[in-house]
Amino acid sequence: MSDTHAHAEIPFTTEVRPDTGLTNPKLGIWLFLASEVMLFGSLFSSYALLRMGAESWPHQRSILNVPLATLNTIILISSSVTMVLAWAALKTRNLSRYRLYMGLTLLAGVGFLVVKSFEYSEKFEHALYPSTNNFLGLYFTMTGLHACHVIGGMIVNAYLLGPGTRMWRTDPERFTNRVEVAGIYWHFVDLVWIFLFPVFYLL
Amino acid sequence: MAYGPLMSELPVARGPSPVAHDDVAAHVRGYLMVFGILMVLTLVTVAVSSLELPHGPAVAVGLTIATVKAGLVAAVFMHLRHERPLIYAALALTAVVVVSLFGITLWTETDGHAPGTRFTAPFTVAEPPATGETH
Repeated sequence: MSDTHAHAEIPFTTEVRPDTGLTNPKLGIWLFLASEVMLFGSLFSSYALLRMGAESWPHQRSILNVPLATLNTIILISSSVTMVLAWAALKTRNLSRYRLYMGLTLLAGVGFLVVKSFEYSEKFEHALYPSTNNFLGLYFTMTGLHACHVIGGMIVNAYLLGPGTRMWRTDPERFTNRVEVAGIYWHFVDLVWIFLFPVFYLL
Repeated sequence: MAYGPLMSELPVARGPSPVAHDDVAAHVRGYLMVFGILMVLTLVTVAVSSLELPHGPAVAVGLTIATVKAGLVAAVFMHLRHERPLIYAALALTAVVVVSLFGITLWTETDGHAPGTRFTAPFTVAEPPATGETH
């Protein structure tokens, strides 16, 4: 590998690119989220089509656990706040507060998944599987895909709380931008749940 | 084209900078206010759903509240309130494509089937014509 390649750095990670007015990571995460909107949009439209076209549809509230889902909504919204507070702590150069808020965000992610696993096991105990009917097929597919997104966000957040924090000592601007970009993704995961909650549990 | 700095682009404070700290403190107050609104709206959604409204109004209320909540998260937590034109353009294109996707999908509901009969089970599969040949 040539010396040039060995020291090549990703451009515009902290300074704004003149033609876009954005840093590259900021533009990148929004383009990625645009594709995510299409992914979840296709699933939501499938849900609408199957439900509207069905002769009968299960009474969703009586199958799913609304109190647990409400708890999960509160957990995920709280984690969005702690995530943005973690980023704000870095803006004021307060690393210990950043660690506190990022730790709380990670903890909330674990809490969400634990509650979700209780919900899933409750369904399985009652022999309610994705193959049982269209509603449960959609429920497990969409909430399962969302849970995968939560796990992905937690892996990134865990890295930024652990080994990734080393960058704070050498390049605090770039590290702060990384946390902001990870936060934008995490808020999107929250945003998807904001729609999943009423669609599956309340309507 | 020259762009002024966004809040997210303000440099990390190099030391005890009261201006930077005040800016961030103002944003933190905004985050906490939105957090409170989101919590209230969540409880309102659950309360309204327990009223067992007819399906149409229930969908309208539930999705309206969800859209307001999502808008707050996007505008404030994701900093979309003060973002660059290129981001708005990308998201506008995404919105057009998603709305078209929904439109085309739901359009199929108007292609001659009576409401609620498209996915009536069991589906019938035409028997293949008997040819007398075996393979």
